[in-house]
Amino acid sequence: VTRTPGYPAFLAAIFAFAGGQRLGAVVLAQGVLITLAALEIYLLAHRLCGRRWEATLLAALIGGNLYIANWARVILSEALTYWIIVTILLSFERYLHRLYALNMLAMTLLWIVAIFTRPQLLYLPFILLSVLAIRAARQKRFAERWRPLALSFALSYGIVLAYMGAFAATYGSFGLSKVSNVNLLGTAMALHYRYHMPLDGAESRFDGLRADALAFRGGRPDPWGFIAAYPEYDTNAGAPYGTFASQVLRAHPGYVARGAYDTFLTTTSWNQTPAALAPLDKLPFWLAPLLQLSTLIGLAYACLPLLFLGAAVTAWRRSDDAGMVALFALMLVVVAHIAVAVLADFESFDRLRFPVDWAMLLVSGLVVIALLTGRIDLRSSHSVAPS
Amino acid sequence: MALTSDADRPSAIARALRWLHGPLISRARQHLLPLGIVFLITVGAQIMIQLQAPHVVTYSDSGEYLAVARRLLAGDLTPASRRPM
Repeated sequence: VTRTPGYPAFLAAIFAFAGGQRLGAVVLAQGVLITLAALEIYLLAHRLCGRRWEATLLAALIGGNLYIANWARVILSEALTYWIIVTILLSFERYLHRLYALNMLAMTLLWIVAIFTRPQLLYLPFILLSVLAIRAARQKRFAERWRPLALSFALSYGIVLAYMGAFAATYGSFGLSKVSNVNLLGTAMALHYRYHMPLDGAESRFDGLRADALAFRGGRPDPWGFIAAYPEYDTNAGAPYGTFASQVLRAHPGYVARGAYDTFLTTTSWNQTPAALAPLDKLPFWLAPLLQLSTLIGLAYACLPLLFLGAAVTAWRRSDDAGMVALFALMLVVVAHIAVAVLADFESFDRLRFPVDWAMLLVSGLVVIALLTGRIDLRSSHSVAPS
Repeated sequence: MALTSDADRPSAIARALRWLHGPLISRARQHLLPLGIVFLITVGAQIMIQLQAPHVVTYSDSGEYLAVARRLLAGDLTPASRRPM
């Protein structure tokens, strides 16, 4: 009830193979996935820029990024989600070149697994299928290409809706897991703590819950602590506090926007060490510079608005250029992922954001290399994007 | 009557050798070194982290995932609301 079954099924498969609950085997499997993802990023980068050594440099920067590598030893769904997203976008790029049904099938299966691993990724099929549909329309080939797109859309969301229906029949709450309700409560509590957002605007039937939320003093926005202190609200997979929080948040869009903006800014001023590694001053001399290099992710995110707009305009003008459309799709996935993550965040935004960090590094790296090698000339009106 | 005899047909080894020298494999071969470099750097980064902090990191969320995994492994698919307390 608390979690979707994707990551637990992955853990169960490893335990079945390893002959028991061996966390070391999970770390090893996650390390393999992170390595596979780096190799796939090389292939994708090569497809996008057409140059082996530039693709090698970018994939090595991402594969060698200590912040990314560190997720291998964390028993959370991040490493699995990271690999799935990389593989989906590699398949997507291939599908742009060759409209093979096998590529579409692989993508569809992968994003269904992705949603059941991380419900946050519910946006993924919609966004990528929309890009394919708009491209087909721009090329005046929608009539001949819409069928596989519609089939994939129906299959993906049909399965998700069927699961949600079964969930509602079992727990009395239409959703994918309890965590989304906990996150909503966490967001409302965080905005109340940080910006003194009033916890009002919900229906009167939630007056008791509101009074308890105001009286609760966890020292920080702690939805799990609140649920433990007031178990009477923890029914129907958290529907009472989920509905209460969503009504409060809808009544205060200004606070939500301010919180989302401030949360996004924490990314651009990012200077934290990977979770559970030693503080910078206690690291061996050879590791500290590598860790500093890994914080390039923050710098890459600072360029997000500019890169997104640039990719959108160029992809619209050059919809025949599969590489450019793939680049735009990468940026679109990053923007959608960040938008969902800043709204769902109450204390772990960097974790929610992590599975798309590689895409930000890849796109900004491709643009930097193209600028340095003169393939994008900012002085000319006929700029050539990497493709 | 067959138009070609078995003797005219290239052997399996000859066909495999021809395939190995074909465009697909030669294209794949040119990526071996870059892929090898990326592989070594990625694995190297993970080894560095293991040397620096050789422990598995778990959070409270990890416990929930592990609990569900144990149930899946035991074949217990009963919803939480219907399990005996």
